[in-house]
Amino acid sequence: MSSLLQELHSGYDSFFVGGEVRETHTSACLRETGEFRMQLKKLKAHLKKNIQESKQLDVKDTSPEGKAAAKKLQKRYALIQDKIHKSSTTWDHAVKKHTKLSHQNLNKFNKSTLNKIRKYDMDSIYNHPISVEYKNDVEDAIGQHIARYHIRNLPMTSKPEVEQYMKQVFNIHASFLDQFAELGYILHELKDGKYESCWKWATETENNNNSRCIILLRYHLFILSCLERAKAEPVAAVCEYIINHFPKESFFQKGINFGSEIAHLLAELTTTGGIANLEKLIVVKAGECSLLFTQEFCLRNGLPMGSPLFQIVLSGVYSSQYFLKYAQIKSSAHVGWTTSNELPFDVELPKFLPNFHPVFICPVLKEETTDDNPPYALLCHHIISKNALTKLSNGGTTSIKCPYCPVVSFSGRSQSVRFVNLDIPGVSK
Amino acid sequence: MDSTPSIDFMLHLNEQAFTIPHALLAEAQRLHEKSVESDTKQLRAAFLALNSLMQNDQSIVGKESALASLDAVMQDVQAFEKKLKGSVAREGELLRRIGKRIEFYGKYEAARESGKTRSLTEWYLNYTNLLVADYLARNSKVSTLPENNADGGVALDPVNAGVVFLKQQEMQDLLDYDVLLAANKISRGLIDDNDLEPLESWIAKNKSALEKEGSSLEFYASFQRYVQALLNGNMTLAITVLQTTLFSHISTHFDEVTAACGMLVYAEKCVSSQDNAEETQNHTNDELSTPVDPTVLQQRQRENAFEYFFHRRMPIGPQYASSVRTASKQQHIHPTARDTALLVSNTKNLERYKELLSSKGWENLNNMFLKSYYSMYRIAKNEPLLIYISLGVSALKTRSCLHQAIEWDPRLDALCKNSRSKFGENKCPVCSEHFRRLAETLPFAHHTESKLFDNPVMLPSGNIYDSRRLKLLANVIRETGIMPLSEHEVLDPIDGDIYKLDDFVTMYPT
Ligand SMILES: [Zn+2]
Ligand SMILES: [Zn+2]
Repeated sequence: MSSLLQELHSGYDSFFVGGEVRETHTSACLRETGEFRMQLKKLKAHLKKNIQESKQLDVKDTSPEGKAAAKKLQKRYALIQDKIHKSSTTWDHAVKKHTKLSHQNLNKFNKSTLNKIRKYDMDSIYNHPISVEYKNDVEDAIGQHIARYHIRNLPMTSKPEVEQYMKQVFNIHASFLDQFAELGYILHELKDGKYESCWKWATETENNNNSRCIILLRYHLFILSCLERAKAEPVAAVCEYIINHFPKESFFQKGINFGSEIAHLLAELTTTGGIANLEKLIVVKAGECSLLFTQEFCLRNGLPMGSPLFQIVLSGVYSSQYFLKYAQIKSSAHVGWTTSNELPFDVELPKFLPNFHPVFICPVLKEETTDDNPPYALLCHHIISKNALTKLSNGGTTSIKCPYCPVVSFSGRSQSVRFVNLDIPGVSK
Repeated sequence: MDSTPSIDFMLHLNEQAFTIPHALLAEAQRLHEKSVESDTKQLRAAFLALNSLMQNDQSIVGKESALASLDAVMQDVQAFEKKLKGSVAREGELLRRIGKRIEFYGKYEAARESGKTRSLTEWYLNYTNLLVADYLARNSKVSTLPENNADGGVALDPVNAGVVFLKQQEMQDLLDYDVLLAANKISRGLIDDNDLEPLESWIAKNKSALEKEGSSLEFYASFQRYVQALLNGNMTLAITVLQTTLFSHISTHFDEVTAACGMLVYAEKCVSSQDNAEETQNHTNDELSTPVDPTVLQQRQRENAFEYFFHRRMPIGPQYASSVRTASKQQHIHPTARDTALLVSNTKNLERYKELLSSKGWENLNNMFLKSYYSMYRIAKNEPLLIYISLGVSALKTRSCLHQAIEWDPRLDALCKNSRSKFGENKCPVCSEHFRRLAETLPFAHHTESKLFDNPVMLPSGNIYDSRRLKLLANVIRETGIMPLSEHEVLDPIDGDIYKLDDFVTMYPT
């Protein structure tokens, strides 16, 4: 575990004291006050009794017994007085002590834990603020993001209700919802462990392309359906269902240990007559199905896997490391942000984020090719930028020796080329 | 090691997730200490009195009065206990926030260590949702209508899109939305309703902290109250504010206080010569027929400015009226000394007044407030969501972004049978509908290495593709039969020509 996270853990733990009862100093304060009040209640009862007995006492009784009884009452009264006094001072000290310790705890948490976390000023790397004129764009992007991920969490499912709710609370256009309505509905069902609508989608002929993803999805949906059955049906019925219905196609998929999960399930059902942690298993399995389904659904329907907002924020978090480092170097070197329209450093984005556009850096001039300065293929099929070509051929007047191989090219016989990412609908990379 | 941020970095980046609840805890502690101090002091005195009563008077009457005072003191103890319950509940809520956040970042650590892309993206999706909630909490309307959910909850919970979103994501412990909503409310009061009261009560509560950082917020709030009184024609209030508040800041805000006095003189004249309207009217007619000279022009500018500020015609006192009239004949003015001084100072200050009196005053005050407020909690003044958008767009923005989309062979659209999308639609988030406009103003990413695809092959058209995918596309075309394609042929999906596999030219881009 990371050291900072550990520090936070122990810093957090130090707010709690006591052995069996985990309590804070403030709750200790409350507990002791409660106990004190109970004690006072008892003492009050004694006091009442004492008054009662004093009243019954015959004051004129001067016999030794009478005197002794009066003395006893007086002694008891003194005892009550002493107890009230002592317990009140004890309580008073305890309250003071706990309050002081609580204060000290907070200071300590601040000094020894929080001070280690405080490091950056986020505003300092906001060099290119998003102008207010794009506020609506940002809010539409948020709307789309919420429609994309949030529709499954709504308290209602009927379309007009959903539309009205989303418009009212988040000001989201119905057009955004349209794209995600089916996705949202099926995910909503899955969240409750209901697999039927997803199963229907995954087995519809137009979706049945036997891709690895859809076979996986059907397999997990099948397991989910078994788990659901195990909740209500007798063991024998569940076993029979598993044996008769498991998707045999799954066994032909390479590299996935499909059979073992079913075998485990059967073994556990037959030996123990049930499944441990069933509810939790269903949640996990439904989660797996949701992810696979979302992936396949978006691929099929030409929707981006993540919302653009999510992808941009993700890139933003990753790149903030570079921005902050650069800001530190800059501030120590007393140099301002460069005015160029390009970031002054490379940013390494998450590996799982695709390259949305091919980027070609001319190996000669080390610059990114553009429309005005496109890549050119030499006769040897090495590629350089147009500017490099012009430079190496002295403006097209001389032949060019390829910077990578011995082949000699001529600028007139070099071909302008274009790198193209090829996405095929319904086929993942 | 890849570029996935370390857990320590994420904690540094999100220090406010822990510093805010700590600040709130400290605030709660102060209140707790205050009540402990005053209440225990009282109780101590009561117990002392009870003790001496019990010591000194052991008669039945004495005992009975001891019982009565014990009863009273027990009630006080009970009241104190109730207060403590409140403190404990508040502390528990704030500590729970810290606990949940440690858990949340613990999940990040686990996802990162597991190396599973799925766990990591899931976590980042939650993180994005948190930023969205932060944005909405800061920017969406806050109404205090009871939330219309059946299961009740807290009846008067503020309704705000950010809070609703958070709760439905079950992330309400991960964001101190109460802190953001409080700022949002004060801010909206200033900008939407020109209402100073929420700000003033916040200033009153945080007086010592503001003084400690040498904030001028209190002064500017009073100044705005003063300006508002002037604009409403409430001279009595304006003068009160000027005398009771603004003057006491003259050593630190000399310029503003003198400007305030200057504005008042304008307004006073306005009130004292209400009955000069007729004359003003005549004067205006006169002026139309007289040749314009610089002094008259200057006077006219002043009048325009006055109308602009106070939405009524500038009163022309007898001296002014005559002096302006004679000015056109005699080419010079004999105003009183006081008026000369005013004239000079006012023309010089007109631009300044203009800004002080315009709606900019509210905006400036709001900005100043937000700055103080957020710095008090060490929260980024700008929405983190916007900061990350700015950074993220730049990191993703290539030279190919925001250009016209590639025109693919339209016959291929038939491959997207179940959707409304077109073949090969650009999925780049920077090029997407809602980001392309704002992306235009942001810098490009910097690359020192090419980022291409595997197996690049060039077709005679000059288009370079991933050869594997080109063959895959040919397979899909053959399967669906949208156009005839024989076994050793591929389609160039852009120019629509058919080429033989033999035409592939393997490229060596790097
Ligand atoms: Zn070469
Ligand atoms: Zn792009």
